[in-house]
Amino acid sequence: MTSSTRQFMVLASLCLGVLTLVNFISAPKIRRNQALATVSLIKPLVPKAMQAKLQVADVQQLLNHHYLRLESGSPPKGQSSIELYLTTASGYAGPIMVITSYAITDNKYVLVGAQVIPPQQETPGLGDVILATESDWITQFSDTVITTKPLNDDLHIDTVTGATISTRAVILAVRKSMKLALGSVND
Amino acid sequence: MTKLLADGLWHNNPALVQLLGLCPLLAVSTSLTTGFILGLATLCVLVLGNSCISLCRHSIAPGLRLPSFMLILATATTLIEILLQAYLYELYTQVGLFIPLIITNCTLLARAEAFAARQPFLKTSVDSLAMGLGFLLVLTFIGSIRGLLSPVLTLVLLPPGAFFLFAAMVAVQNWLKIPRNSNRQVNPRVIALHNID
Repeated sequence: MTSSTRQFMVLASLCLGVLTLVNFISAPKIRRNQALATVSLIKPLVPKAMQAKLQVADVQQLLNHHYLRLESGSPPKGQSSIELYLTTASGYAGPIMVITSYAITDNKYVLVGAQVIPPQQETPGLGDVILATESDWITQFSDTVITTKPLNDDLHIDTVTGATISTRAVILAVRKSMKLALGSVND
Repeated sequence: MTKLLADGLWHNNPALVQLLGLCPLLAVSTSLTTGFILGLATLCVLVLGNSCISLCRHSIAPGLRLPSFMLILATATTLIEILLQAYLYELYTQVGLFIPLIITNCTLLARAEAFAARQPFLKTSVDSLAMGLGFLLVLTFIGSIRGLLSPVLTLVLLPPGAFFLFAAMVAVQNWLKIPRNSNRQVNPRVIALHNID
């Protein structure tokens, strides 16, 4: 190895070392920040009575296990619960993570809504229509009664011109969660 | 030192005079906040990266100069990205996509090659600070104008609008640079030089 190559390798290892150290120190804080941001993102997917119950720890559980169940215990009105699923599908520039929420009352499943959570890298101005902050496209999923079989034409959601791949990925992710939710009913 | 600051902020401003780093300048300057945050991140990367380059300029092999600069600058960019994610998450979500793109900003490599690789640490730090501040000012200024005008004129939010605004800024700066004193005698040597052609 020539001396210039050796110098370069030393420099590269130094840079790598610094980044690894900083990443190691910041990783827990970054994960907590992501969970905090997700809490505010998915609050609209949970009924008002349960919103107070939604804690950072719950969201961390949802992010780790891709599933969360929240119960609201008021027996006179009947027990109702919310199931949240985290599903992933590949978008235009990497994976897109979608959280979907289902309200279960008397074994009837209602898709309350869906939200795309960070990190995602869809093209700004085109693929980012899937974000609730950029357009209301994602609200099309809200309040859909789910039948027993998630057929392809079950969800009447249009893709968006210029964002076909991104929007199709979100629809696929929601469909995946429908399968999971209905699977838990059949069990 | 004052000359270095004046150069970065006005006479040799990376955006207005050198016309470097236009990609983020036009893409992110849609509002004051995003412009300011990206400008600040670029400033940090510039100071951090180029100071490091200046510190180890004697141990960088001349043949592997450019890859070494890129390595150091990319490390600085990633470092800033991680720190933003950890401590300023709210702002990171607004400009997150553009932070890794700081490395493609020509201002960084231009200053590394033209200045940091030849000058001592302190001088490089001041130069990077001045250049970064110059870039930050332009980015914030365009961002605030686009933010203010966007409710009235949608064009300013689109890339052509940004180009028009930026061109206007360059024109105004050039106009301000013209010596005001019209009675001033033209240097006879300049006339002589013109007559050579």
